[in-house]
Amino acid sequence: MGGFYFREAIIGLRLNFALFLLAVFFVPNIPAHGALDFNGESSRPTVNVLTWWGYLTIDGIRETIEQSCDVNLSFDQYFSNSEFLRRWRQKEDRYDLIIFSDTIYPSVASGIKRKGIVIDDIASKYHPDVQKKYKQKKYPKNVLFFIHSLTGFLWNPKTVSISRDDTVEIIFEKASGKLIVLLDDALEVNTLLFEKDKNEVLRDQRIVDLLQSRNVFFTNEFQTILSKENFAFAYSWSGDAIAHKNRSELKHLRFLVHPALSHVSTDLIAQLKSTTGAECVVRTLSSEAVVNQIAEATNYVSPFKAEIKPFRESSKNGISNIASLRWLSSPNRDDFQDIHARWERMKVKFTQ
Amino acid sequence: MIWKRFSTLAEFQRRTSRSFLLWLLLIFLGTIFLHRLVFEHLSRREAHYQSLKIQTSIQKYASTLSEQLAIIASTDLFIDFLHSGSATRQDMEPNLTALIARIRNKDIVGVTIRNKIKDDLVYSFGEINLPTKILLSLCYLNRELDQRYGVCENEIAFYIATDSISSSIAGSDTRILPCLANTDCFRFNFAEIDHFGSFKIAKGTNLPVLAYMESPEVNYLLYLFEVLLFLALSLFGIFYQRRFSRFLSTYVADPIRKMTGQLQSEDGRVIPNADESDLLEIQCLYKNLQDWSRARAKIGELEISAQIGELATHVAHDIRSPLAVLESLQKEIISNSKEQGELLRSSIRRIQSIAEDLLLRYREKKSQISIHSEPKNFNVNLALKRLIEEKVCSHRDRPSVRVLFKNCAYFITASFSSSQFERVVSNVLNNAIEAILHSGDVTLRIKVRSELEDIFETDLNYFLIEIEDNGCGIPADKIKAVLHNGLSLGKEKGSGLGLSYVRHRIREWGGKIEIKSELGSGTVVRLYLPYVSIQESKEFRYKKNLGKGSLRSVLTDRDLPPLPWDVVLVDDDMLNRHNWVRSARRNGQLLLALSNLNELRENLPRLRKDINIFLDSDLGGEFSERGEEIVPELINCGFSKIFLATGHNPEKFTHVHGLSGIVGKRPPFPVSEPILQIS
Repeated sequence: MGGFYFREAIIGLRLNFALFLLAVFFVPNIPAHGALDFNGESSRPTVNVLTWWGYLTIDGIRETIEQSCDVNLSFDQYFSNSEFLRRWRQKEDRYDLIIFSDTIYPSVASGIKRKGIVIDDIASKYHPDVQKKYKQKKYPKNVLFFIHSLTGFLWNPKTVSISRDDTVEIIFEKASGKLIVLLDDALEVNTLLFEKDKNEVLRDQRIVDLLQSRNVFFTNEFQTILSKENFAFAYSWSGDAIAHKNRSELKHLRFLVHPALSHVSTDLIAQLKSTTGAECVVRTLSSEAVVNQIAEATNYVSPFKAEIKPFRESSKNGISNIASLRWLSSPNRDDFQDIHARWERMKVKFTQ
Repeated sequence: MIWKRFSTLAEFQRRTSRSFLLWLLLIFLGTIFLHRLVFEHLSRREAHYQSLKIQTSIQKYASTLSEQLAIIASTDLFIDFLHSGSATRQDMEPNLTALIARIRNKDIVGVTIRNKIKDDLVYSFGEINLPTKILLSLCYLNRELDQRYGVCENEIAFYIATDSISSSIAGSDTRILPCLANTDCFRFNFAEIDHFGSFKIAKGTNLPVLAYMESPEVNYLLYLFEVLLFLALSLFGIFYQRRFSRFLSTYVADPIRKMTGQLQSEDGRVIPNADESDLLEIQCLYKNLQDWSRARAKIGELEISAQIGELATHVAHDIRSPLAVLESLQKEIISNSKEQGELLRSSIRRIQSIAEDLLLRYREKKSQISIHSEPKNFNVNLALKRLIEEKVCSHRDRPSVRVLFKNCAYFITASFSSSQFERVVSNVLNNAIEAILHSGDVTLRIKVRSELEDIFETDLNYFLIEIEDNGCGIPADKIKAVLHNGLSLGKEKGSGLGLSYVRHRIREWGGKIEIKSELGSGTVVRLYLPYVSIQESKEFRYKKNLGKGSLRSVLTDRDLPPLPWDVVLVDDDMLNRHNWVRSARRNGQLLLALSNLNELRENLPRLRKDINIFLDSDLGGEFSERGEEIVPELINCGFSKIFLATGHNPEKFTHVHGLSGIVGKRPPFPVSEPILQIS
């Protein structure tokens, strides 16, 4: 799932006390066993989280969780699926809970399945369309939808013009000689560029046709690139895109949820340890109030609402619910590895 | 007036010595100035060099530290640490500290890493309360350091003591030292620059560096050079002072001494007011000079007036001849023939040219009257021919006097005033005609340089106009007076200006005049005149480079390539000419067939002198020529085989001298033996 520049995106946004009470109210089973030791330092247990960067840095979220669950929240952030996998495999047992993309679920499925941890009751409150999707995925009971995102094009009207009728080829052609950003996610980009090309030869040729002699960055940390004069477009997640777009110096940028090319992707949350602190944190983070608040702050889509925040372009397209869009499918482990390997090769070959 | 300042010679010498001392002083000061200039220049260069040297050391220091930091900041441990929460960091911190310790820089006493966005101090080590620190932005794109496109969320701070870094920078060069008290230090602060190696320097940086560089040792060679320079300038000054003194003694002091010596009393004392007398003398000389200048200006005016008078006299003299023609023609003008009309027009042209010449001089010279007129190329032969026709006409009342024109050099072009030339020759011809009291011949000949090589020892080409008469002649003792003093002989109204004018003009044109006369036998006047180069003439059909500077142009026997003809026929009958040509061809000879004498004259220079020339007697045509008329001319030009081809009785031509024979109209080929040989 995409990260974003939270500090600038949600300036002024503060979680009020009522929200705090609401969170506490909806999580009644969290034990309040925090106490100060004789030195005045916190003796609360620490809940360690591996998460996509930005989710837990939203103002108020961390405090809400720590106070609700009486824990110290420590979270490691990653910026790409590769990084997640590396850190996960390094210290698998270190983390109490993880937040990750459902596209890499097959790769980590065997490691995250925990017997005795049941949190799927929260899914019953999802939007019916989303709930249907959740059931189709058949995740273990310790895995939930955390939040949804849309992919789209954040484009610079000073250098290009991208419309809903443009094909991928046309979009890349328009951006010839200018800076292009593709999000650093193998499955997302694979879906965008090569979904129709099953033939490997044709796919490789298409890679060359689209990316050869282009100034392409494969990254999720592209806020600096957006400020460059010759920036053309970034294929990114809606949360990141809108957050950047709201920065004062980037107000001129536009975001397009393309009816044919955009799709829905999902981040999952999994509880790995059965401690009360971990369960409390998972339940708090996955609660409707907190998720809705994060979605509100980040322009992502809450599974409880399934409602797409009205982007200017998307509202014109009549897209208001994620159920009406394509959902990114999760390949099996072998396919994912193939896609990922190709992605890494492509990055090496065409990266700036 | 300058001498008034030196009342005595001693004072003059004293003052001269003073000026010399002043000169030496100036040299001394100049040397000091030069020394300062060179010293300051070297000092500036040295300071600039020292500054560059210290800056280079600082850059080297920054580069080394930056490279080490870049290696560390690119490790997974470091990046993961930046992205981790407190729990993970706590585990990683010992390893990170060990990693940072690999930066081999003894100046670093503390390190902090801060997340700028969250304003969170994520790492600290060592002494972090020093005010002197350098903050570097950590910018990453895809976990790699990237200052251009990366996201800069963290900063690393190195705390460094000023003295320590100064020592480190100084240590890179033995001549760079940490700054001491009262030393003119080189001051630098990392806060003033943007980059520290490959890292951006962040706000909050404050890391001054104080260092200085030892000045180089005293350059004794430079001082030695300056001393030598001073000595050289001094010697130079002494040398020229002596020369100057000698010059003053020779040209100023000694003459003054001589002048004032006359004003000294016997005991050597100077007579009072002697210097005033000298001044008066000089003033007097100056006044005389002014008077002389005024007088000279007046003389100039008088000369101009005299020239005007001379000119007017010449005009009056020159105009007499054409007026005489007009006068003689005036009576016959009603029943005038075509020829007379032409002569009348020619005379009028001459008078007009004289008038125009006069006007031109006045127009061109406002303050000075010059007798020079605009040079203009003209054909000498034509001018002389025209002139002789005029003379024949004007002296028609004296049929006993013949004017003969013997022309052997055609197409001579001269480059002086044609009207003046005609006037010159006219004067000589008039004198020659008037020298014949009853009957006689006046012969005018033209020759070119080929016959005149001994006359002038120059490279110029000359032609000769020789006018010979068999008149009364000039007494030998009068010839010089005639030429120089304007003496007139034997004319009632003679002004005596004619030959004087001729001499003046010819000398002006670079020529020469000779008069040989024998009393009672006649006079020969020879005029040697230069002819012009081809570039100035448009009339020539033939060019030949005679070398040494210019193209000369004249058609002479020597210059022109000879024509291949064996025989020449001059006959106005075309059928006869064709008959002769065919006959000659059958006999293997080339015949040049001409219709009139002018054609013959044009070809004469290119004909071999031994060629057989056949002339018809009755040439008819516009001028009703007779072939025998040209015989003397041909003989004069060196041709010897001259025949008449005529049907007339040979006895009719017994008066014609120089004929080789008389043949009929029938082609006489082969012509080795003529039909009739005249004895």
